Amino acid sequence: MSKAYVAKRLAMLFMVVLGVLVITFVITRVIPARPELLWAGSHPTEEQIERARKELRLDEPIYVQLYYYLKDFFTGDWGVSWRTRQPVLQDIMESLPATLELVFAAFAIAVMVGIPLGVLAAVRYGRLADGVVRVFSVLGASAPVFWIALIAQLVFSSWLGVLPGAKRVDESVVIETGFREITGFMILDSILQLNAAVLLDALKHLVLPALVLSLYPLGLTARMTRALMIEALNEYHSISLQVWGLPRRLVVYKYALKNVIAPVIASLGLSFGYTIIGAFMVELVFVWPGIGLYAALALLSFDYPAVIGCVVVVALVYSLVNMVVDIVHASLDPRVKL
Amino acid sequence: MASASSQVLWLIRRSKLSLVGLFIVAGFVVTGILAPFIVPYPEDARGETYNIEERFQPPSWEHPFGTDEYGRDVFSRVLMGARYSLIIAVGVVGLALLIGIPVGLVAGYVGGRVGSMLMRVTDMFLAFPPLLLAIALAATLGRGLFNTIIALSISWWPWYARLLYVRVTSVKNMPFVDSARLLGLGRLAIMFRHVLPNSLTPVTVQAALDMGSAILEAAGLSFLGVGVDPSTPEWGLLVTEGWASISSAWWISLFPGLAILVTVLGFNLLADALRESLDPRIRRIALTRRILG
Amino acid sequence: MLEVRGLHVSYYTLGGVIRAVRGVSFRVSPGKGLCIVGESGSGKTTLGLAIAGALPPNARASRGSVRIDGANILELGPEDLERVRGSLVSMVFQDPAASFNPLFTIGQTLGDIARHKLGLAERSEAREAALAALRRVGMPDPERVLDAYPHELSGGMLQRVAIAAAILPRPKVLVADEPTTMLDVTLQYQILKLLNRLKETLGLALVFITHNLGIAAEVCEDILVLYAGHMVELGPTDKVLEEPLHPYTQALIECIPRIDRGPGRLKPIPGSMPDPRRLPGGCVFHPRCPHVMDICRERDPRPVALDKRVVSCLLYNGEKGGAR
Repeated sequence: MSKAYVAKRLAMLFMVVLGVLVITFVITRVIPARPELLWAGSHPTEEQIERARKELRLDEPIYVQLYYYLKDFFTGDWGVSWRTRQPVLQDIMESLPATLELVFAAFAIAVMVGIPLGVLAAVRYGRLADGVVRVFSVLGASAPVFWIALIAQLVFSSWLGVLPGAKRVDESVVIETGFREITGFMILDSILQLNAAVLLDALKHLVLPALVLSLYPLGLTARMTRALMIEALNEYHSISLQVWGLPRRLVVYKYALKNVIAPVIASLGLSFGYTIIGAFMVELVFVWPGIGLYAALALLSFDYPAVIGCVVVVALVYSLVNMVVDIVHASLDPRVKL
Repeated sequence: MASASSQVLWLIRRSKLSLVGLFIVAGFVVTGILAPFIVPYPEDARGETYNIEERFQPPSWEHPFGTDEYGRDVFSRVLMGARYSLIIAVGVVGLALLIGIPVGLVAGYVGGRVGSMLMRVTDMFLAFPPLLLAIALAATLGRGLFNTIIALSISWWPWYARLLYVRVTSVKNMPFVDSARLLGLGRLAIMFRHVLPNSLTPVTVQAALDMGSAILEAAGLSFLGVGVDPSTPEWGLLVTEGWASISSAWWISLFPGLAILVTVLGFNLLADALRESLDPRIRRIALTRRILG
Repeated sequence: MLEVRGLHVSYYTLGGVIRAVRGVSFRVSPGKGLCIVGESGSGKTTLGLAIAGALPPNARASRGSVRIDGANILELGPEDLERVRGSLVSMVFQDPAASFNPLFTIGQTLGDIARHKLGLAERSEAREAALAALRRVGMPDPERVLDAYPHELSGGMLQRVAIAAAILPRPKVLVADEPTTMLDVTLQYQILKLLNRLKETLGLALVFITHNLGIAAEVCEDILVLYAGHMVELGPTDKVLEEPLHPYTQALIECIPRIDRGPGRLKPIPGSMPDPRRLPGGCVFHPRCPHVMDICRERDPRPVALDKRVVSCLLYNGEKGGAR
């Protein structure tokens, strides 16, 4: 892979970021009749409204506003949250690790279960296993994730009591074992400190929300894999390799599978998008202290600066993941010149 | 395109799952239209009542889905919810098509600088993960049925613009368009009489099947507090209303969520089967099964 | 020795049963070639797949046998079939570009074949075997080809590689399904020469499938003409080309453009190949036959031995020589 390709992708990423910022600018400053009312909290005083007007430079021409909007973004001045009274960027940075941990766990489940299920369905095309996988993946894409979260919490936590239904970790375990935060990723930090008690507890807390969150991307991945695998197995090369004497198992799991992996990876970006948005709702239900909970609480309490900060940062993470996905995808196919 | 309907029939005969999907979708549409006339407790459905002695009653013959914290019949409210979900679904998809079709058509047919500009803007919208843009818009516009529809359709149209764009760019190079050009038809006439009709089918079919996703996303917005008005019996909101008392009165949240699940499942089963039959690559396989056994 | 006897193959589809091959018998000795000639839809590819032990799951060889050195490959279970493919019989296809998985280098593909079919566990041994196979098909610069991806090679080179892949496990029978149809004329000739040489040096029994009678003479000692799954005429190449007995074979030969015949029009065969689900009664060729007799509409001709060959036509039933 050439440096030029990565540089090109980075330049594209920059353009995407600019696009995201321009769209959010239009939504927050151009569409509302009086933007200052939105930025001034839920029950603003005259004085607060006036201050918001000044901060947003609403008396100046629109391109000046845009200039300062972009400048504030790149200098890290994202405003102050009305709910937490802290700078939005700081809030977001504090809650991002928790979300990424949850999203990556869900994503990992989706990929590690979804791809084998899709392959299984394709290899048993038209038979019972195929039907089961198809129905299951359609179900995963049809269920409202917040409802699944509520029901799962009710059944596994409240009724059966087998798994904790809220928060990332039991506070008492953290205090007893003298656990410190290093990166903000609970699992990683507990491994770094060789703290088995916190690790186990954190994993226990992670299971339920991660499983719930993984259902949608899991179904998506399984469906995608199935369709691509069926296609790959019907290509002439899958037939000719077998006619030349290679065992079917090798043709399916080594040759055809490789044709599937690259496009499946290309589709993971969209899966990731669904996952991170699902996290907004799953975090709210499971009181998971991530950016989703932060955004959801901000939405419920009309904390506009925090909402917009979250929107921008999630769009950024999404674009970044898509860029990585594109690069990985391109590097897997020898026909693509990088 | 004349064979599209016969293909759909062929597929429905072949796959029982798609038949199930068709029944669900038909049932949903009928319920949505007739809801005000068939609900057992119309006042409850509209949210005008407060029966303090009937609060939190579990499912019974009288109230198949139980009652909520105001003593209202959950069954009536769920039936009425179908109407709102139907309005949202049709509204979102219709509005998104209304924006997406002109953009995709012009970008694809005119091409050149205008076309690439339009597609650049489209791609800017597609840089947001699904629903995120709708959240930002809904937070800006405020709650309400109409605002929800606007917010969702604005985050939705770029998909149709892109789909139509791809279709138009391939259709406009087809021989029959060339011959229309040679016959001396004007650009506009070619665009509306030849290119558009031949490009529209896949987009509209996709859009009709996307209604399930629209219902799902509208419910998500409601759950996050930026959807329809609090008094509306929209399914996502009904689930949310039952959240506070879920450990004692689970039925309040369970049934509206189930309604979402079943309805969206219906649309998705239909979409899945249709994709299977319309995708020429998969279709070929379904007919010949060339996998070595 | 490849020996096909009374072979019938049918496809079971949603639209009903399609009887693609109906009673075909022939023999091919090691070092000899047989050409199967027919229009598209005549069942020639199905016949090739049946010989290669590679019928799709919805196809069944309902009657007859395909014996290679005595063993009937139609009776083998899936595992034995996997063992036999490549080692006993192999096949090359029409489109060389589609025959290779685009994500694997030629070396990886050939190496896997060498590992699984020749039992060469060592990477270097497998590579050596792959190189040897490439050299055997006259590939220039085989080292470079091994490290190339399929899209980096031309169609002609890929067809050579496909032949190398097919002969790598040293099969006794090679089925070549229109291997030259997608190539330029000069390359076609080279591939034909290569197949001829391999057939003789390796003692292969070659089954060459084509729709082009003109090519047949280049590689094959015998010709089998197929029409709607029926064996129409089978005999030595020179005999069949110079003195075709069956009206269909005669018509096919009229279609070959030839310089030595001088100016004049080629004669296309009137009508078209019948729908395999709705074959005409009696002789399948009668609606298009210039010599059609009343009896042809009622009776199915049986193959008769005549003048060193086998022909299925009512013109020759019971009498020798027959009308032309």
